[in-house]
Amino acid sequence: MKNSLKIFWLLTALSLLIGCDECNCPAGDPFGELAIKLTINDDHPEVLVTIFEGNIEKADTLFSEYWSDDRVYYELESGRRYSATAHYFVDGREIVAVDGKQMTTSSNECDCNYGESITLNLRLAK
Amino acid sequence: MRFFTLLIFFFLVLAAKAQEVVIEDRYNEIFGPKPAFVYTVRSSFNADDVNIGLELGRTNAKRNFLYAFSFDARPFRRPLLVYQGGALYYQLREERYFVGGAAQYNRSFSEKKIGAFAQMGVNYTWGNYGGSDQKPPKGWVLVPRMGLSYKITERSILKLGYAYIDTKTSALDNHRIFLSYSFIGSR
Repeated sequence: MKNSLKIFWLLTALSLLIGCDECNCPAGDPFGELAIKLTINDDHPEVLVTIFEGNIEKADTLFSEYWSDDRVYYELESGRRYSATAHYFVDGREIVAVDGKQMTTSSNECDCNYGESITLNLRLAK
Repeated sequence: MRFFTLLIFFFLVLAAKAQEVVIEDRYNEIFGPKPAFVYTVRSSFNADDVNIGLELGRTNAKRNFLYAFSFDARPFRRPLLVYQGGALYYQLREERYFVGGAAQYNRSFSEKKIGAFAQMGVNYTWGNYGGSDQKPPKGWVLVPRMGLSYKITERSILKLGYAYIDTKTSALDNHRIFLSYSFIGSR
Protein backbone atom coordinates (compact mmCIF):
# COMPACT_ATOMS: atom_id res chain seq x y z
CA MET A 1 0.00 0.00 0.00
CA LYS A 2 2.81 2.37 0.95
CA ASN A 3 4.61 1.56 -2.30
CA SER A 4 1.48 2.28 -4.33
CA LEU A 5 1.17 5.68 -2.66
CA LYS A 6 4.82 6.47 -3.38
CA ILE A 7 4.36 5.57 -7.06
CA PHE A 8 1.21 7.73 -7.20
CA TRP A 9 2.99 10.81 -5.76
CA LEU A 10 6.01 10.23 -8.01
CA LEU A 11 3.81 10.07 -11.11
CA THR A 12 1.91 13.22 -10.01
CA ALA A 13 5.19 15.13 -9.50
CA LEU A 14 6.49 13.95 -12.89
CA SER A 15 3.32 15.00 -14.68
CA LEU A 16 3.51 18.45 -13.06
CA LEU A 17 7.15 18.82 -14.16
CA ILE A 18 6.29 17.80 -17.74
CA GLY A 19 3.39 20.27 -17.67
CA CYS A 20 5.73 23.11 -16.65
CA ASP A 21 8.13 22.26 -19.49
CA GLU A 22 5.29 22.57 -22.01
CA CYS A 23 4.23 25.93 -20.60
CA ASN A 24 7.51 27.83 -21.00
CA CYS A 25 6.49 31.25 -22.29
CA PRO A 26 8.78 33.10 -24.73
CA ALA A 27 10.70 35.95 -23.10
CA GLY A 28 9.97 39.58 -23.96
CA ASP A 29 6.90 41.45 -25.17
CA PRO A 30 4.37 39.47 -27.24
CA PHE A 31 4.18 40.05 -30.99
CA GLY A 32 1.31 39.57 -33.43
CA GLU A 33 0.82 39.44 -37.17
CA LEU A 34 -0.38 42.50 -39.07
CA ALA A 35 -1.66 41.56 -42.55
CA ILE A 36 -2.33 44.21 -45.20
CA LYS A 37 -4.50 43.68 -48.29
CA LEU A 38 -3.56 45.75 -51.37
CA THR A 39 -4.86 46.23 -54.90
CA ILE A 40 -2.10 45.14 -57.28
CA ASN A 41 -2.91 45.04 -61.00
CA ASP A 42 -1.75 46.50 -64.36
CA ASP A 43 -2.87 50.01 -63.29
CA HIS A 44 -1.21 49.72 -59.87
CA PRO A 45 1.76 47.33 -60.19
CA GLU A 46 3.48 48.80 -57.13
CA VAL A 47 1.98 50.61 -54.13
CA LEU A 48 3.60 52.75 -51.44
CA VAL A 49 2.56 51.37 -48.04
CA THR A 50 3.19 53.23 -44.77
CA ILE A 51 2.59 51.69 -41.33
CA PHE A 52 1.96 53.96 -38.33
CA GLU A 53 1.68 53.33 -34.63
CA GLY A 54 -1.60 54.99 -33.57
CA ASN A 55 -3.77 56.79 -36.08
CA ILE A 56 -2.27 58.33 -39.21
CA GLU A 57 -2.59 61.91 -37.91
CA LYS A 58 -0.11 61.05 -35.14
CA ALA A 59 2.46 60.48 -37.95
CA ASP A 60 4.43 57.96 -35.88
CA THR A 61 5.84 56.10 -38.91
CA LEU A 62 7.20 52.57 -38.42
CA PHE A 63 7.76 51.48 -42.03
CA SER A 64 7.32 53.01 -45.48
CA GLU A 65 8.04 50.87 -48.51
CA TYR A 66 6.79 49.90 -51.98
CA TRP A 67 5.08 46.53 -52.40
CA SER A 68 4.04 44.60 -55.49
CA ASP A 69 2.24 41.77 -53.60
CA ASP A 70 -1.49 41.97 -52.91
CA ARG A 71 -1.04 40.74 -49.33
CA VAL A 72 1.89 41.67 -47.07
CA TYR A 73 2.68 40.78 -43.45
CA TYR A 74 4.49 42.43 -40.55
CA GLU A 75 5.30 41.11 -37.07
CA LEU A 76 4.59 43.89 -34.57
CA GLU A 77 4.37 44.31 -30.82
CA SER A 78 0.85 43.68 -29.53
CA GLY A 79 -1.26 45.85 -27.21
CA ARG A 80 -0.99 48.84 -29.56
CA ARG A 81 -3.11 50.45 -32.25
CA TYR A 82 -1.70 50.35 -35.79
CA SER A 83 -2.84 52.08 -38.94
CA ALA A 84 -1.63 51.99 -42.52
CA THR A 85 -1.98 53.90 -45.77
CA ALA A 86 -1.60 52.85 -49.42
CA HIS A 87 -1.21 55.44 -52.19
CA TYR A 88 -3.00 54.95 -55.52
CA PHE A 89 -3.26 57.30 -58.51
CA VAL A 90 -6.57 57.09 -60.39
CA ASP A 91 -7.52 59.48 -63.25
CA GLY A 92 -5.29 62.29 -61.99
CA ARG A 93 -6.50 61.89 -58.40
CA GLU A 94 -4.40 60.62 -55.53
CA ILE A 95 -6.41 58.20 -53.41
CA VAL A 96 -4.92 57.30 -50.03
CA ALA A 97 -6.55 54.16 -48.64
CA VAL A 98 -6.55 54.25 -44.82
CA ASP A 99 -7.35 51.57 -42.25
CA GLY A 100 -6.41 50.92 -38.62
CA LYS A 101 -7.13 48.56 -35.74
CA GLN A 102 -6.05 47.73 -32.21
CA MET A 103 -3.78 44.67 -31.89
CA THR A 104 -4.97 43.04 -28.68
CA THR A 105 -2.93 40.78 -26.40
CA SER A 106 -4.44 37.43 -25.39
CA SER A 107 -3.31 34.53 -23.19
CA ASN A 108 -3.19 30.86 -24.11
CA GLU A 109 -3.90 27.85 -21.83
CA CYS A 110 -0.34 28.13 -20.38
CA ASP A 111 -0.99 31.79 -19.44
CA CYS A 112 1.55 32.92 -22.08
CA ASN A 113 0.71 36.22 -23.80
CA TYR A 114 0.48 36.49 -27.59
CA GLY A 115 -0.68 39.14 -30.05
CA GLU A 116 -3.97 38.61 -31.91
CA SER A 117 -3.56 38.82 -35.72
CA ILE A 118 -5.20 41.79 -37.42
CA THR A 119 -5.88 42.55 -41.09
CA LEU A 120 -6.02 46.04 -42.59
CA ASN A 121 -7.90 46.34 -45.87
CA LEU A 122 -6.22 48.91 -48.13
CA ARG A 123 -7.74 47.65 -51.37
CA LEU A 124 -9.28 50.24 -53.69
CA ALA A 125 -13.07 50.17 -53.37
CA LYS A 126 -14.98 49.65 -56.63
CA MET B 1 -55.91 5.46 17.21
CA ARG B 2 -54.24 8.88 17.41
CA PHE B 3 -51.25 7.43 15.60
CA PHE B 4 -53.42 6.22 12.69
CA THR B 5 -55.18 9.59 12.47
CA LEU B 6 -51.81 11.35 12.24
CA LEU B 7 -50.59 8.86 9.63
CA ILE B 8 -53.65 9.45 7.46
CA PHE B 9 -53.26 13.22 7.87
CA PHE B 10 -49.61 13.11 6.73
CA PHE B 11 -50.55 10.83 3.84
CA LEU B 12 -53.19 13.33 2.71
CA VAL B 13 -50.74 16.23 3.02
CA LEU B 14 -48.16 14.40 0.93
CA ALA B 15 -50.78 13.38 -1.63
CA ALA B 16 -51.94 17.01 -1.91
CA LYS B 17 -48.35 18.18 -2.39
CA ALA B 18 -47.83 15.68 -5.17
CA GLN B 19 -50.80 17.03 -7.13
CA GLU B 20 -49.76 19.38 -9.92
CA VAL B 21 -52.03 22.39 -9.99
CA VAL B 22 -52.25 23.99 -13.41
CA ILE B 23 -54.01 27.31 -13.66
CA GLU B 24 -54.69 28.09 -17.27
CA ASP B 25 -54.08 31.66 -18.40
CA ARG B 26 -57.49 32.60 -19.86
CA TYR B 27 -56.90 36.36 -19.82
CA ASN B 28 -56.97 36.55 -23.65
CA GLU B 29 -60.35 34.71 -23.85
CA ILE B 30 -61.99 37.07 -21.38
CA PHE B 31 -60.34 40.45 -21.98
CA GLY B 32 -58.70 40.00 -25.42
CA PRO B 33 -54.91 40.21 -26.07
CA LYS B 34 -52.93 41.87 -23.32
CA PRO B 35 -50.08 44.38 -23.66
CA ALA B 36 -46.80 42.59 -24.40
CA PHE B 37 -43.10 43.15 -24.99
CA VAL B 38 -41.93 42.63 -28.57
CA TYR B 39 -38.33 41.65 -29.35
CA THR B 40 -37.23 42.26 -32.93
CA VAL B 41 -34.15 41.40 -34.98
CA ARG B 42 -34.02 43.45 -38.16
CA SER B 43 -31.96 44.43 -41.15
CA SER B 44 -32.23 47.15 -43.75
CA PHE B 45 -30.08 46.88 -46.85
CA ASN B 46 -29.47 47.94 -50.43
CA ALA B 47 -26.65 47.39 -52.93
CA ASP B 48 -24.46 49.98 -51.12
CA ASP B 49 -24.90 49.21 -47.46
CA VAL B 50 -26.34 46.96 -44.72
CA ASN B 51 -27.61 47.64 -41.19
CA ILE B 52 -28.40 45.01 -38.57
CA GLY B 53 -30.29 45.93 -35.41
CA LEU B 54 -32.27 44.99 -32.34
CA GLU B 55 -35.52 46.59 -31.18
CA LEU B 56 -37.32 46.25 -27.86
CA GLY B 57 -40.92 47.39 -28.01
CA ARG B 58 -44.18 47.32 -26.10
CA THR B 59 -47.59 46.88 -27.69
CA ASN B 60 -50.91 48.15 -26.41
CA ALA B 61 -53.70 45.69 -25.53
CA LYS B 62 -55.19 45.86 -29.04
CA ARG B 63 -51.74 45.06 -30.48
CA ASN B 64 -52.18 47.70 -33.16
CA PHE B 65 -49.73 50.21 -31.71
CA LEU B 66 -46.13 49.72 -30.62
CA TYR B 67 -43.47 52.02 -29.21
CA ALA B 68 -39.87 50.86 -29.16
CA PHE B 69 -36.19 51.54 -28.50
CA SER B 70 -33.64 50.34 -30.99
CA PHE B 71 -29.95 49.99 -31.79
CA ASP B 72 -28.64 49.38 -35.31
CA ALA B 73 -25.11 49.11 -36.68
CA ARG B 74 -23.31 48.40 -39.92
CA PRO B 75 -21.67 44.97 -39.41
CA PHE B 76 -18.53 45.92 -41.34
CA ARG B 77 -16.44 49.02 -42.18
CA ARG B 78 -17.70 50.60 -45.40
CA PRO B 79 -14.97 52.26 -47.55
CA LEU B 80 -15.88 55.85 -48.48
CA LEU B 81 -14.01 58.51 -50.43
CA VAL B 82 -13.53 61.67 -48.37
CA TYR B 83 -12.23 64.78 -50.17
CA GLN B 84 -9.15 66.31 -48.50
CA GLY B 85 -8.40 69.19 -50.91
CA GLY B 86 -6.54 69.56 -54.22
CA ALA B 87 -6.47 66.19 -55.99
CA LEU B 88 -6.23 64.27 -52.73
CA TYR B 89 -8.92 61.88 -51.46
CA TYR B 90 -8.81 59.60 -48.44
CA GLN B 91 -10.53 56.24 -48.77
CA LEU B 92 -11.67 55.84 -45.15
CA ARG B 93 -13.43 52.80 -43.70
CA GLU B 94 -16.52 53.98 -41.82
CA GLU B 95 -18.28 52.34 -38.86
CA ARG B 96 -21.89 53.56 -38.48
CA TYR B 97 -24.30 53.28 -35.53
CA PHE B 98 -27.93 54.30 -34.87
CA VAL B 99 -29.75 54.51 -31.55
CA GLY B 100 -33.26 55.82 -30.98
CA GLY B 101 -36.95 55.28 -30.53
CA ALA B 102 -39.92 54.62 -32.79
CA ALA B 103 -43.70 54.43 -32.89
CA GLN B 104 -45.42 51.86 -35.09
CA TYR B 105 -49.00 51.31 -36.25
CA ASN B 106 -50.07 47.77 -37.24
CA ARG B 107 -53.20 46.78 -39.11
CA SER B 108 -54.33 43.20 -39.71
CA PHE B 109 -56.32 42.23 -42.80
CA SER B 110 -59.44 40.07 -42.67
CA GLU B 111 -57.76 36.66 -42.28
CA LYS B 112 -55.39 38.21 -39.65
CA LYS B 113 -52.32 36.33 -40.90
CA ILE B 114 -51.26 39.16 -43.17
CA GLY B 115 -51.11 42.79 -42.13
CA ALA B 116 -49.46 46.11 -42.83
CA PHE B 117 -47.33 48.36 -40.68
CA ALA B 118 -46.00 51.92 -40.73
CA GLN B 119 -43.26 53.08 -38.38
CA MET B 120 -41.60 56.43 -37.75
CA GLY B 121 -38.31 56.42 -35.86
CA VAL B 122 -36.14 59.19 -34.48
CA ASN B 123 -32.49 58.06 -34.39
CA TYR B 124 -29.16 59.57 -33.43
CA THR B 125 -26.42 58.41 -35.80
CA TRP B 126 -22.66 58.58 -35.39
CA GLY B 127 -19.56 56.76 -36.59
CA ASN B 128 -15.79 56.32 -36.68
CA TYR B 129 -13.13 55.93 -39.35
CA GLY B 130 -10.59 53.12 -38.95
CA GLY B 131 -7.03 54.45 -38.62
CA SER B 132 -7.93 58.16 -38.63
CA ASP B 133 -8.87 60.83 -36.08
CA GLN B 134 -11.31 62.33 -38.58
CA LYS B 135 -14.98 61.82 -37.67
CA PRO B 136 -17.85 61.11 -40.09
CA PRO B 137 -21.00 63.26 -39.97
CA LYS B 138 -23.34 62.65 -37.02
CA GLY B 139 -26.74 63.91 -35.87
CA TRP B 140 -30.47 63.23 -35.61
CA VAL B 141 -32.34 61.57 -38.46
CA LEU B 142 -35.94 60.53 -39.12
CA VAL B 143 -36.25 56.88 -40.15
CA PRO B 144 -39.61 55.91 -41.72
CA ARG B 145 -40.35 52.22 -42.34
CA MET B 146 -43.43 50.62 -43.88
CA GLY B 147 -44.49 47.35 -45.42
CA LEU B 148 -46.32 44.07 -44.95
CA SER B 149 -46.29 41.71 -42.00
CA TYR B 150 -46.97 37.98 -41.85
CA LYS B 151 -47.95 36.27 -38.59
CA ILE B 152 -46.00 32.96 -38.57
CA THR B 153 -47.40 31.87 -35.19
CA GLU B 154 -49.35 33.67 -32.44
CA ARG B 155 -45.99 34.88 -31.05
CA SER B 156 -43.82 35.52 -34.11
CA ILE B 157 -44.15 37.97 -36.99
CA LEU B 158 -42.10 38.43 -40.15
CA LYS B 159 -42.03 41.89 -41.76
CA LEU B 160 -40.87 42.95 -45.20
CA GLY B 161 -40.95 46.47 -46.53
CA TYR B 162 -39.20 49.73 -47.26
CA ALA B 163 -36.98 51.89 -45.05
CA TYR B 164 -35.47 55.31 -45.62
CA ILE B 165 -32.18 55.52 -43.71
CA ASP B 166 -30.09 58.67 -43.90
CA THR B 167 -26.48 57.79 -43.03
CA LYS B 168 -25.49 61.45 -43.54
CA THR B 169 -23.16 60.22 -46.30
CA SER B 170 -24.07 61.53 -49.74
CA ALA B 171 -22.26 58.65 -51.50
CA LEU B 172 -24.72 56.05 -50.19
CA ASP B 173 -28.29 55.43 -51.33
CA ASN B 174 -30.82 56.02 -48.51
CA HIS B 175 -33.61 53.82 -49.93
CA ARG B 176 -33.48 50.31 -48.48
CA ILE B 177 -35.30 47.00 -48.23
CA PHE B 178 -36.44 46.29 -44.68
CA LEU B 179 -36.68 42.76 -43.21
CA SER B 180 -37.44 41.84 -39.60
CA TYR B 181 -38.45 38.99 -37.31
CA SER B 182 -40.38 39.80 -34.12
CA PHE B 183 -41.08 37.64 -31.11
CA ILE B 184 -44.00 38.65 -28.90
CA GLY B 185 -43.15 37.98 -25.26
CA SER B 186 -45.37 37.79 -22.25
CA ARG B 187 -46.99 40.71 -20.45
